Amino acid sequence: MHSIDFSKQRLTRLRMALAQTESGMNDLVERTRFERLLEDAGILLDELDAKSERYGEGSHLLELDPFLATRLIYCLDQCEHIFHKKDEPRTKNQLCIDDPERLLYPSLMQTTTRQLLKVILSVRKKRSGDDFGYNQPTFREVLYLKSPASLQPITVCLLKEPKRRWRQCVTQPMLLAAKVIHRMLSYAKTTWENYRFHIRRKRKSRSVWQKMVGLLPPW
Amino acid sequence: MWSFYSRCGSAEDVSTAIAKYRHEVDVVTFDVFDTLLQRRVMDPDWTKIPAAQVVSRILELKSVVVPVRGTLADRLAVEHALRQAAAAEGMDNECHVTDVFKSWLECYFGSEEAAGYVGQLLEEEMRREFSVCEAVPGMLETVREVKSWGKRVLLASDMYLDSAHIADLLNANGYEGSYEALYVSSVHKLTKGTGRLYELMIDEQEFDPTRWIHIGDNRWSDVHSPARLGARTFLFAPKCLSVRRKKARSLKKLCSVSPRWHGAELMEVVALHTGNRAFRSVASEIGYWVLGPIFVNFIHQVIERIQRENIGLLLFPARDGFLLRSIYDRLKPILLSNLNVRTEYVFLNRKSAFAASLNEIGPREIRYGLSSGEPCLRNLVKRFNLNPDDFMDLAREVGIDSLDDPLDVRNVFFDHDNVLLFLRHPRFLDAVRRKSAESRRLLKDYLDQLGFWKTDRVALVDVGWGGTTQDCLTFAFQDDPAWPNVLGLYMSFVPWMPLCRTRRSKYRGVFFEDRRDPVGHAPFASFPELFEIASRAPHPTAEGFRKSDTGDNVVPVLQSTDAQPFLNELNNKSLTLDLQAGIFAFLESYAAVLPFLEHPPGTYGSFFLSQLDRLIRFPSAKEAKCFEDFYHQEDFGVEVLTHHVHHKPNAASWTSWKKFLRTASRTLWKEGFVVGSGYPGLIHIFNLGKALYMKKWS
Repeated sequence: MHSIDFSKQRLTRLRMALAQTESGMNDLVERTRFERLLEDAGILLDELDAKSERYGEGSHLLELDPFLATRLIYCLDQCEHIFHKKDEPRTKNQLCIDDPERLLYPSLMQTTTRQLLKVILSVRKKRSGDDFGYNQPTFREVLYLKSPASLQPITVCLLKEPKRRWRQCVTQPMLLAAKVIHRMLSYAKTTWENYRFHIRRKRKSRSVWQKMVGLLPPW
Repeated sequence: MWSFYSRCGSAEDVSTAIAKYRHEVDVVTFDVFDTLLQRRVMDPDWTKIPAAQVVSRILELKSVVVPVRGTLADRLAVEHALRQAAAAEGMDNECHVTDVFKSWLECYFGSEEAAGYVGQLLEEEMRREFSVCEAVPGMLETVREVKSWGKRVLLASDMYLDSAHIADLLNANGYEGSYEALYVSSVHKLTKGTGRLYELMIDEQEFDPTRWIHIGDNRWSDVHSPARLGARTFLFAPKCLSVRRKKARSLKKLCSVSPRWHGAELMEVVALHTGNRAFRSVASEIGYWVLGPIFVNFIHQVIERIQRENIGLLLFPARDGFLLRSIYDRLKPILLSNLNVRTEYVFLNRKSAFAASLNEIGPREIRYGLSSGEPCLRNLVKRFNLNPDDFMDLAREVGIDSLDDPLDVRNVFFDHDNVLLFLRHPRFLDAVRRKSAESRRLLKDYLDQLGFWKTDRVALVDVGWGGTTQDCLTFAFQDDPAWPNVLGLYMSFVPWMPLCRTRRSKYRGVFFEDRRDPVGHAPFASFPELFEIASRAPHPTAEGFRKSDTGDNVVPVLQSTDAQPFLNELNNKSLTLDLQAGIFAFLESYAAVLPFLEHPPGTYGSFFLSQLDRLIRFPSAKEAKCFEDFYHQEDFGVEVLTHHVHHKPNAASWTSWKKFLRTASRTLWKEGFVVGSGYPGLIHIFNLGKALYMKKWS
């Protein structure tokens, strides 16, 4: 089965198949891969052929050069595999951790899971990643792998060191207040800048305060 | 937050926005990075890592060890100082790349020597920029369309690179001839943020700022600054860009908490390189996202190790060695270009080495011989490379009727007197010794062909698990004066019997080693066959050695391709090929990202293990279905056949559940089986139960 002659036959068959189905393989990525593998197989076969002349005809392919021979068999196998499955539809990228369109807003399910996890973890009072269990992914890691974009802020919260927890409790309202003040200031700043740079040219007749009121959001 | 900025979510939006005002404007300007060009890295600072690596390497050649992080920190400090100096001179906070490289290298070398390396660093930096830069989808067409309307197109960028470098990047991505002029902050020492670069542009290009549109991704320098001068501005903020930035920010935070998250960063960058690729099957996806990182990172760690250990010969035992050596061959030119390490794909396995290691028949030999699904005397004799039928008379002589009677492995010495009589019989011992001497001679000649005996330090790289092949080699040849220092590097090292550990035969687990981390083997212990299938070469296993037909060299005796075990394996060929296609595809992405890696490979490994553990302990239904039916045969002849047709037990019927549990107990990958049942949440209960049973719940 693994001889030079048999490999030559396989290669010829695959080349013919490729030539016959010039328009059959519509998938460009797969086609390119197929062609590259076929090219590699050709080069490997030539090398092994040269060796077989040196070592004598009829030698087992793997006895000539085990690694090159294995690569050759692999290339031919892959080509046949691609060719036989060329008409099968390809799957969407399911395991990819990056899917921005889908994960932009957390769904109801994700929110519920997040709340549930928060409760479980607060009951267990375990927040440190390394001490959580034995070297296994924790719930938050599993969660991260499943849906990263929307849940990363939560995982950050859960990763806080336990010792600093009491301090966080004290500073939490202060942080919240600071955040609100920052929001208000940045809003005022943006409004003022917008007034200066965008609107000034449009509404020249009205007073500053009228313009400011006009800029406020509808609520 | 309510905003007045006009946002453009895509290149089409930009086109529409400009078209709306096309009769009111003469000039359209664009920002360059993240508007016309985007980089496939999480953080722009990643592009500075390759140059930092070059500096580290130059210093290493001069016997000064500064890690990449150190040189990178020096560069950032130098950039900061140069910006401060420019501000002190009345210019804006900006510096030029040549000045940065010169001042940076002067931290380590004299001025003349530093000037000599600047060209090399520039070349490296630009090479990497070219490899990661790509045109933002649709923007090329938009720029051409704007030009076709007869508008003047100008570009402005706040960047430390020279304008010629940025022009090269733009030209390489198809923007050649689409713009009139390019203004770069590093050249004029004026930035967009202060608006002085725009003022210079207006003066030099002599256009009316009220008849001008600017598009860019930065709220301040691309929206406010030009608007202050009278331009109509649009913020270019596509969703994918903001998501990527958000991810980069949160991952940075996570990395500061635990370095394992650097692996997640790496995977995100790989995802950027992957793009919207569709996979042939779930198996190739598993190969790409889960197994690829593990195998490739393992070989990356091995390469680091062999550099440190000064290894002369690297052996990749068949059949797992095929995948490992292919990965090694791809990574070696990038990581080990200056080292000359010989590599060999060898037909060494437990079966081919065990017979050579026999001398006496003691507990070790019996344990090896009976480590099978069906421990019996026939299998034991077969493992000694002898024909069981030749010893039927001897068996009858000592009172054994059949060689197929099952034996209790633990109590061979206590419960089976006849077996002991058989094994210690001089006739049997004689045959064993004769066969062993022959096997040892052949094995020695085979190793001689590989140059094993002429090398001082040899490394054996394998997936795992027990290190028994190395143990057999050590047992056979440790007294030989030519025996070299052998270092076994295993992806996961889980020895199941006492091994022959000597000063010249060491065993190391790269991802997991039981002595170092007694409870961390969950990913590898639950489903080790997954790695065996994924790394299996497409040829039969070796059963021993023989002299070649010409008689001048030793060749392996391979299992027949018509043998039932190999035919059974062919049923899983499609699964193996898909997994391997995924792994090799990941290898290409990893090789592209490799120059941007700042940390040692071990840092990324722990995250990859988490991904693997996620797959094994919390598989999705599709992932579980992938492995529902497969055949695996160990080199020693232990056959594992997993076949679990997914069936959903009837919730109300205890009999149905009993049948389900009975099947689950026999199944190799229990998690996959549980998920296959179709009950949501059952896998969580199963994992909780398992953790409690193993008493490893925190």
